[in-house]
Amino acid sequence: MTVGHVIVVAGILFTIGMMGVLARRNILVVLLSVELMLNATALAFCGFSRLVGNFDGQIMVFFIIAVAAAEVAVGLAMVIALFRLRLTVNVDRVDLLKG
Amino acid sequence: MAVFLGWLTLLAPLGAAVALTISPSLRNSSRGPKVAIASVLVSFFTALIFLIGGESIEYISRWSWMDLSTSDGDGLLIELGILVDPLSKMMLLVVGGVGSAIFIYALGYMKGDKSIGRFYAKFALFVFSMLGIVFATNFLMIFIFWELVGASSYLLIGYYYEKPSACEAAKKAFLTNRVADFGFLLGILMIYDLAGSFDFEAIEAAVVGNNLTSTNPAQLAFASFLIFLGAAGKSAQIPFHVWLPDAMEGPTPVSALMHAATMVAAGVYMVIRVFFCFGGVGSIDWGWAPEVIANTGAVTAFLAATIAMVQRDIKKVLAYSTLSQLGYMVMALGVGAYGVAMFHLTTHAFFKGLLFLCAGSVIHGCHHEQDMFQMGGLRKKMPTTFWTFTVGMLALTGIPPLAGFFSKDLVLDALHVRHFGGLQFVATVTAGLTALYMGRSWFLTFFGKYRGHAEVHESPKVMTFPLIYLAICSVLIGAVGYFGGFQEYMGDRAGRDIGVLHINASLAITSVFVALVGYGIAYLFFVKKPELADRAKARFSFVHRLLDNRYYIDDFYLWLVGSVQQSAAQFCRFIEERIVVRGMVGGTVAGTRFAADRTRRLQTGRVVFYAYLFLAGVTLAVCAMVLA
Repeated sequence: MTVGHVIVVAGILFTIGMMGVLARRNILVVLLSVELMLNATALAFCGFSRLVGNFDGQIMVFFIIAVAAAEVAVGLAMVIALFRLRLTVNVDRVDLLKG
Repeated sequence: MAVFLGWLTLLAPLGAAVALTISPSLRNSSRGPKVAIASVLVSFFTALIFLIGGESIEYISRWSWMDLSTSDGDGLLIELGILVDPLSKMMLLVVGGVGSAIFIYALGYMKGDKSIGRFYAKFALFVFSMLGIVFATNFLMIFIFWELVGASSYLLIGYYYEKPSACEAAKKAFLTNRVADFGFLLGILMIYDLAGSFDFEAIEAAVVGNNLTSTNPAQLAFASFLIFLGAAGKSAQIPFHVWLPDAMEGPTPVSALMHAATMVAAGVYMVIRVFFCFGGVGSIDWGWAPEVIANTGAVTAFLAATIAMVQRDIKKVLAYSTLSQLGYMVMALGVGAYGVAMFHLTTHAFFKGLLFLCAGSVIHGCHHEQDMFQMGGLRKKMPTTFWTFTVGMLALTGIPPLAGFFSKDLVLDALHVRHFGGLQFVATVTAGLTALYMGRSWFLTFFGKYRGHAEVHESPKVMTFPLIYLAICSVLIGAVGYFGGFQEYMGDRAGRDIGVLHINASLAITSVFVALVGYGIAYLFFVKKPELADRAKARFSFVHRLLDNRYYIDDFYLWLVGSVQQSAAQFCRFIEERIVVRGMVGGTVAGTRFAADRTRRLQTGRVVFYAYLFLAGVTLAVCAMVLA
């Protein structure tokens, strides 16, 4: 198993997450997809850490996990607030900021 | 002590004006005018003290008003000051001597006027402005007081503010002066650029020491020409003369003060004061400016005298006569005869002040009738006015040994010495015209039958006393000045200065003869055979129309403002409204609105769309990085 394999897997994961963000309309699924993209990046960091031979990349992964946890907490709180306000979780129907 | 006296003289009329303005009880009481009169008498007595003191009282006192200069002496220093030298002493005597008489006279003339306090407040302010010019030590100070004279003349000409014609005349005087003053200001700045200072002493030193930044005669001539423009505005030289006849709308004491001691004298005085800008000292060539000045004076003297011949209003005759006499002074300035110009200014102040006060007395006696054709035969009814008017008239027309004879003949002599043959001829002819129009108004007013309807009476003592005082001065001052060494007292300057002149017998005889011929014609036309005047009027109707319409100069200005300036303004308005406002400002608005309308569609408010844009942006950035 080389670094190349790891990067390819990370790329596939990232693309799946990105497609989820762009294609799905349910805001919960969009948030899940964002998590997927974050984890793909974390995986890529691990791979590169192994390639370079030090632990800098792996330390970065800890940061990503911490930030992701915080982001999920805030994000879910906003989703709940939004649902209470609009009674929907469809992102396409939340467009009050249009010009 | 003398320094204190100088400042007191300058500030006393200001104090009187301020006190009368801010204190209603003083303004409405009978003490008000007396305060103003006292403040002017101060300058009369100061002038006497200064003149008696001679050379021991000559000083420059400077007070730094605004110091904007740096420690190494660069930059602007604005000073006010008191300059006492023979010239300012003599001018102070004119302002104080003639001014006091007019102030006392106005007590009688303005009696019963409901706002006499306001009148005296403005009157004192006017004298204060004039004294500022007299005492000025630098160009900035003279300019400040120059404008103050303009402003206070505006107030006085428009004194009868309920009369529309008076308001118009006041505006006309102020605006005409402003146009000329703009030239003056430019001239001051040019001199500052050349000499690096506003101070008269410093500029004179720079001129004498050849320390100007440029010696190009064309540039210097232009600078002194611009300075002269200011003088031409105040001294009402062509083409700025139009305001002066209209200024007759003010009360007669105002006309007297304005025409004799202040305002119109200010222009001539200023040129004499800054004679160093006209080639009065040093060896610098000031180009064509002096010739232009001399010719302006000659044209003004002649044209004004011809217009005076057809005026019906007794004050307007005198107004045009003032213009004409100022023309003489300016001619003298043009040929470098500064002492002579000052001499004529001094004598003229006394006899023209006298004539105006006589005219005021006549108007007062005839119950505010000013048309000479509604007068006549007043000799018997107003003896004092008649005799003093006669003295003033003889002095003005240069009959020896009265004042005008000496000063006018010295002007002629100056033109003769400097070989200005043409100007000398014009000046001599003008002397004849002077006698003609003065004789005309004399005969029309005081001889023949009374043609008016009002009950005529002699004026009260408070008015006739100043007349007698000024008449005595008009008799004596010429001979006293000429034999007493007036010209030597003014100082002999180097450069273009002509030095001390003497009466030239042949010139004097010629001019007196011409004046007598003028009187003869006036007698023939207006006493002996009045029908001759009407025949001449019919025969030369074109000339009469031309003179009656003042050579159409006023109409020309009206056309200039009404048509030319108006169309230029319309054009500017078109540019402003159509192109600037509607085109540029409106175009920016429409363009912004159009662009905003198109770009706001991008703002969908949908998260997914933003995500797509974000992806597209990242893709572009990555591509750019890879390609770079």
